[in-house]
Amino acid sequence: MKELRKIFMNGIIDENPTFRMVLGMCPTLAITTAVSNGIGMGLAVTFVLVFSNLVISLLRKAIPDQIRIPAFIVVIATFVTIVQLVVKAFVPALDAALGVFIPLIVVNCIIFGRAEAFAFKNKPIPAIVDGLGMGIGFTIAITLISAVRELFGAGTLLGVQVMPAGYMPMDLLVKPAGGFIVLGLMLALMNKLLPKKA
Amino acid sequence: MGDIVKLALRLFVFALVAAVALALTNEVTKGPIEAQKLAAKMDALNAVLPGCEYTQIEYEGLDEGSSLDEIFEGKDASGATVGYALTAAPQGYGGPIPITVGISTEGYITQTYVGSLQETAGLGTRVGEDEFKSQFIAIAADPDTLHDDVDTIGGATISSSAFVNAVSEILTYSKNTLGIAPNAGDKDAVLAAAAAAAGNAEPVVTTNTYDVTGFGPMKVEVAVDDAGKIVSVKVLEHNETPGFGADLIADTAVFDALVGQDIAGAAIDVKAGVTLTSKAINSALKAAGPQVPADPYTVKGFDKFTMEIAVSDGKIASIAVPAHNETPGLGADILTEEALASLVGQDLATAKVDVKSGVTLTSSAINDALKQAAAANGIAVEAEETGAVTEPTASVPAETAETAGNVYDVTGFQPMKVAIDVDETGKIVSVEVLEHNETPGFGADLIGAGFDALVGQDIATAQIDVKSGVTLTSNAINEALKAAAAAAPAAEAAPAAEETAAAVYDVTGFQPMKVAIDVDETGKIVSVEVLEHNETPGFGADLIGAGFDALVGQDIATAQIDVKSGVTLTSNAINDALKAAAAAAPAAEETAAAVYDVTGFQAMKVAIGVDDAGKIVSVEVLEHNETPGFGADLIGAGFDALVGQDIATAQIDVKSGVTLTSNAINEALKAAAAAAPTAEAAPAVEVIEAVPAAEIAKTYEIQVKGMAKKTFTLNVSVNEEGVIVAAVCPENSEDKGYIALTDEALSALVGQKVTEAKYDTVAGVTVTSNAVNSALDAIAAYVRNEEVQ
Repeated sequence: MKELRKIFMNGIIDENPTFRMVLGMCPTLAITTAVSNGIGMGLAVTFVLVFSNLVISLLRKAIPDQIRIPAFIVVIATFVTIVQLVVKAFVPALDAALGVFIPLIVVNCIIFGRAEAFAFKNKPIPAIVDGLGMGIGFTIAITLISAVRELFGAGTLLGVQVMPAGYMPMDLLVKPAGGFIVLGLMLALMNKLLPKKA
Repeated sequence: MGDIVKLALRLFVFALVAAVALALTNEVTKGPIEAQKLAAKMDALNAVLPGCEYTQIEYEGLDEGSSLDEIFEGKDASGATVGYALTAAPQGYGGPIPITVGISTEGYITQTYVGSLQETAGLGTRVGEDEFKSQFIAIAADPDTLHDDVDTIGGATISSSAFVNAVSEILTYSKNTLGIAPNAGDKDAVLAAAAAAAGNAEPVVTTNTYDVTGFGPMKVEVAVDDAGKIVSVKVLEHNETPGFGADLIADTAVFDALVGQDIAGAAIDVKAGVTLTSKAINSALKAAGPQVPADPYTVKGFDKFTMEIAVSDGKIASIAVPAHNETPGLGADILTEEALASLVGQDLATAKVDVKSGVTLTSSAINDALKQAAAANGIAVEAEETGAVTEPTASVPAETAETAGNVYDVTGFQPMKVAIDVDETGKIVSVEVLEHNETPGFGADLIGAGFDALVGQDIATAQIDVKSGVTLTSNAINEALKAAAAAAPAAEAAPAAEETAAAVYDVTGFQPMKVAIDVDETGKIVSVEVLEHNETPGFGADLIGAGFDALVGQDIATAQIDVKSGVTLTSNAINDALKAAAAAAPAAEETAAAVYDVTGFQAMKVAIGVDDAGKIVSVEVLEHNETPGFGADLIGAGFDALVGQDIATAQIDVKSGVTLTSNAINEALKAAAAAAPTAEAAPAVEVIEAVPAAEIAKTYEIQVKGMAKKTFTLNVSVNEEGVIVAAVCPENSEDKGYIALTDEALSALVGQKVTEAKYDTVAGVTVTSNAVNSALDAIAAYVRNEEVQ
């Protein structure tokens, strides 16, 4: 149990995909313009992470080493497509907001990276926990970034006007350049607050 | 080599499993995705041409590379074309920009709608914002003046230019091909009309405060909108008793329930313990509603008095006696506002008070006033419902015979007087406890709850459940019921008009049986009962035990039960009895069918049988030479739908392809109508009630894949109640699937609720039939979503 806890917290802090490993930058920059998008994307990625980790871990003895890359891709792509179809069918608002970035989860380095680095070499339960930890770590990270960008860039949080009426939103923050800046600042902040263990 | 093959095989297996998982997911999500697309499309259409019925039409003569996508014609409720909605998806900066433009037939753009954008946030996405879109509202639908009327967005040139160019293309099509002459509209008028059609108009709300008296004086504020619906009801000031009226006033649920109701007739339940308070609130509600002028009618009870009765829509809107001289404790008690309140809302044609002992004169006077009011309002009063009061054993209307006849002294916990009224067919009209001393909380509550459930039951068998805690009281009531049953005329003695003497037929199933079959004079089965039998338990005996309720109401001439294996002899015996009854039954009314010579595609002889009530009994084509596949098929399908209809108005739909034949049938029907004896004039009462069925239907156009990946379009029209009123496939280009998509085949869907509709799979064309079902699913999903919203 302690082991599992360690694995879980690893994904949240020590090896946080966004702030430590700097993986999955593409969606991080593109969709973090609103908190609802951040949460939605984070949950989609977590879902794919957990299930692809699980399946790959279960099949780790059955997948020959030479064809592991195509096998990972098949598994990940299948889960992503399932997510995409379900979102399109039942949560069209999220589909409209995330648009092309849902299918792009397939090539999200986080998922591929964890499959190769962890799931392929570990038992199912730890793999699931790792997926959960990474996914939630990613969700927290991009939600934080989205919160900053939405609050100061549009004056709202989750669509609700938070800043006083007279507030002039900083347009720059909701554009890609602003995304970079916020990300950089948050990385610096994270390094200061939670220094890497040597 | 072997290695590579093994690896490839492994990978193949993974891919296969993945493919299956995806196929399953696709199956589940296909319908909802279609529904979402449909919803998005409907959103766009409703935004640009609110409140219309949309039918998709075809573009004519479009260039290759045109960004125009779909075009819809918008018709209003009367079927007149109001405008067109054209969609286009020009390429913007980050992706296609889905736009829908509405053009009114009067020559201006009604509104533009933008779907989901992939443009740069804050720049390109501004084309979706009102600031940009409002430039287009009400401008002339002229591509030549477009650029004068609209500006592109600085910093978002590509996105906005793409938008404007697409609109220009749309306007060119509208001006040149659709032929709509450009004509700028009044922007405010267009916006107002759109808001009204979309139901966004701010309703005008009238708020008034009424001084009423409950336990004490109260001020009640009622707010009503201009459609006559209650917006809010509040008690501003009151002094009602805490624990009683005060609690009712504090109960927000009671007042919330009123919101949205029609103010005319709105009222809250008057509950015991808060009578005065509830009534006060109801008087405020009445005062807020439409005031119908009351007319005075003078009648004589014990003494002369005037009743003021207001009638609205054939119903009693208000009834009051301002002054009278009836005896306190007797007639005076039934003239109070409380006593008369039960008449409010009733149909004037049938409203009356029971003539009770001790208040005969006064009650008769009230009924007299009601009759006068009915006459004054041109309402035919239904023949006096032979209420028990007037007729059980003797046909003496006076109360003396009555009271002795229908008040029963029984003893529950304490002595009680129970009044039971029974009509002449033995059905209970009312059960009332006149006097009792039962325990509050027990028997008294049982009595207080009333005996409405007994009304309509057969006195011969009516009983109430004996519940613990109220045993004595319930038993007493049942005793009274039994006494009434004993006193009531034998249920069988039916009025002369009704042929109800059941005939008994001796038939043999497994063993000899006696079957009693009752048929009324129109030849419909009233009851089927096996009086004596010796059939085998578990087989024929069970069939008999299940009863023959399904036969009741059927025509004796054709009624039969299914002969099931295991009970063959018994079922056959029942059917023999039915046939014997049919032979014995009086010939169905005047059914000699008259033959009419009409001409469809060729000469035809149509035989139409009409009964003496003017209802069609049969329609048969005796001779014809119509074309097989067209008129011949129409005739072959039979005219069962016409049976039972009124000959005066019966007509069949004239469908294309069978125009001549259908018209010929209708001619024959008209000739029969002219020849038929005029049906009895329907009682005037009916005129008041006529409410046309919701015919406003929304048409959903949905594309599904049939055989060989060919897509076809289904137009399904669904009315407000969610029932399918029409389903057609405009371009039936399937090969084998053709037969599943004909108008006739799809007409099987008409009348079904769209959320439950199932299209039976036609053998040999499964794929096409399934495609129809998935179309139905998508529409149902969309309709459900709409309802939830």
